[in-house]
Amino acid sequence: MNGDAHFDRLVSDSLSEPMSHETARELDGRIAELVARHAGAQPRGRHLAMPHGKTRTVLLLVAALFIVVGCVVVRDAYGTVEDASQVDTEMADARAVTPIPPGATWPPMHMQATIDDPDQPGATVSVVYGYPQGHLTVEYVAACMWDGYWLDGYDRSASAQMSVALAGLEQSRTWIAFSGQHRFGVEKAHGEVVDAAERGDPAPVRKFMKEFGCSTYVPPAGSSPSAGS
Amino acid sequence: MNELAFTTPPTETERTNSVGADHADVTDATTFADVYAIHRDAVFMYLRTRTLDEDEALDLTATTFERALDAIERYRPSGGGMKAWLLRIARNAAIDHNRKVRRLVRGPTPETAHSKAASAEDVAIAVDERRQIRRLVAELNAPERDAIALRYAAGMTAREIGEVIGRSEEATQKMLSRALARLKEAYTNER
Repeated sequence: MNGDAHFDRLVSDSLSEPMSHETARELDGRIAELVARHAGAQPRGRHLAMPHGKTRTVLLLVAALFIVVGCVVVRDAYGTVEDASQVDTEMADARAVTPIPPGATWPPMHMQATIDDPDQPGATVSVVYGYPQGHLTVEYVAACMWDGYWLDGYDRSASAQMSVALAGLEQSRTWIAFSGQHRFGVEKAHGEVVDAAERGDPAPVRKFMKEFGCSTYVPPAGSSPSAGS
Repeated sequence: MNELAFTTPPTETERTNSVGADHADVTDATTFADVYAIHRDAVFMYLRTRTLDEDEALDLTATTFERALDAIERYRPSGGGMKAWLLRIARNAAIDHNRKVRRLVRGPTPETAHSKAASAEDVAIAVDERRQIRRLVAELNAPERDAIALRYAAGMTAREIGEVIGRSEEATQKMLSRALARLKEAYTNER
């Protein structure tokens, strides 16, 4: 190696010395928060990403979960009684303040005013909801998105995406559904999911998604399977 | 859930070829995460050369990507591509930062102060060639220091550097050669 080449190498090595792990972690965290905040502030609903029928099925699964949770597990958790249209309004309010992953869009969300009467074939019965049903539904859909987003990043070894997802998941701990303030009994389960994501363990995340109505998650074309596979 | 409308993730090859060069479709934050992942180190290393301080470089790197995220809708591919665009933002962030510090400090410019502080430290650990080189780079005049930082810290070609600093490829190449010769002379004189 001649003198110029040696000096060229010395300059290159001096100026391109890798940043420390601490600095990298700090920087990744800041950018993850920035991107999550930015994603939360963006207008959503630009396009629908799934056929309407499937969306309805998913939402009914989520709704069914809350009917079970609300009536059986913690029957005193709900406050004011709401009809379906009131829940729709509440969901619109909740969507405005609940962040979802970059690039994700909200599905159409409507609560059913009536369901088939199990006792009388052909008849329907009205469904009664209670506040904060709308927030819970929205937050569950968002949590599923963040879970799926993290898994997708995990499966593709996309560390930046995983960092963004972790910031979103961490934030979900403060949401009504998962903060414990209404004692719905699911905050512990989801808290364990966030803990698992933070330590890089995908199994509890997949399990949660499958068991709590996120099992229809289909990763975007070109990525490896994430959940429900 | 299927309603996750992610942008189709690019393959590794596609990422390198498109986002790293002249890819225009970087308007969603998913792709922005890729942009960040690809260019994080180059932006940081460039800013570290400008500031001589890892913490300041960290702050300025965060500022750079924040500005980039705010402006990414307006990004249009040009000769230097995404990397040159980001480094222009980084360069402006560093200039803004130095102006603010100058206003607060008064007297010696922060760069001079940094150089002297680094100089004292480097005398104590004279064997640390890397620190010495960084200090000597910081003591170059601003255009030459920028050119060297963009070449060796951010790993840019003369054409890309020209896109950032607003000079032709040929003029940039000449400036790089001059700066490197000056740097080598200073280094040799100190050894």
